[in-house]
Amino acid sequence: MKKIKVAIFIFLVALATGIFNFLIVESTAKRLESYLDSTEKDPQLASEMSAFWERRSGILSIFVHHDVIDKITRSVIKTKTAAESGNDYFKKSQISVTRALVKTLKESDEISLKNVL
Amino acid sequence: MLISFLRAILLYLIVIFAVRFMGKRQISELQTSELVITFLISDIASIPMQNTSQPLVSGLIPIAVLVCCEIFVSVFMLKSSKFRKIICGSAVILINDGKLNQNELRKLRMTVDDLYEQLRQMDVFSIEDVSFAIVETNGKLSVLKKSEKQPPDASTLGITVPDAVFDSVVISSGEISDFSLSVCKLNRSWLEGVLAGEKIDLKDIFIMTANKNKEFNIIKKS
Repeated sequence: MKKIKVAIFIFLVALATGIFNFLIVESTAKRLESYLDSTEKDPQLASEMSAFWERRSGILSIFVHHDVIDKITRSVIKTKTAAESGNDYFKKSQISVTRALVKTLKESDEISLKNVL
Repeated sequence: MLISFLRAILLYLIVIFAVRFMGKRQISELQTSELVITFLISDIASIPMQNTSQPLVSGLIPIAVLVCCEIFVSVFMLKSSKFRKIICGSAVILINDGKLNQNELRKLRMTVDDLYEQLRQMDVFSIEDVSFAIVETNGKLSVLKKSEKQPPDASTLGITVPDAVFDSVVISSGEISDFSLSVCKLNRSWLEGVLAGEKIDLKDIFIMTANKNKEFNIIKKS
């Protein structure tokens, strides 16, 4: 009976970890998307976005494949550089690259039939 | 490299814990579900061990879920015989009173050579000598020989034999095993008395065995 209780506890911990992973990825992706929208209008927000990503990437690296995080980190830094440079074309193209990577991150963790299968 | 090293140790400990947690049966006779779990755990553990860009959690969560599923399945199997039948299947009678059931043999996809091989390993050289041969759910063959082919035991011969005693290792490399002593219904004071009588120090003993009749054997360290 003790063993089944421990098994239920481990099962719940695993489930909670999965849910936490899903929530943290979802919230990070949403925040990044809103930062990217704002950065298009206000380039100053790019450094704020970069600081936010730096904080979150540490937690995300516990759950998400490190290659995906590295790609987003590089893209966020490039977006920040582009926003600071004032080159509008470079900034816009970099924002769309980052947005695509964030979308991939979000979609890879979505509870969908596509991902399950 | 250091990360791989640390991960390997961590995963090794976790897999050891997982297998121990699933129970003793896991390391001896495997049922279908247990065999599947064992394969899966060993495979899952190796992925984050080799690939350091893979988060460790992605290996730990499936292991935890599989171990829990195995525990739940084994509990359900205890509670429901129908469920047990679905997961483990049922035992099959292959030989009944010296007659081979060919249909069951075909269903098991077992050749006559396989059957004879297993029978020979159990000291049976003719199907006619077998009263019952059953293929258990774990795939092992259990054989009951016909009574006239079985060696006579003490009760058949009508003789009295002394109780069987077994020797237990009470000291190994200078360390006393209280468990072995309790199995032999002995205690430390008896052991100390024996060591004093033999004029031997505990640390000089390689192995000492004893049984419940207080008979002992000491092998000194060389």
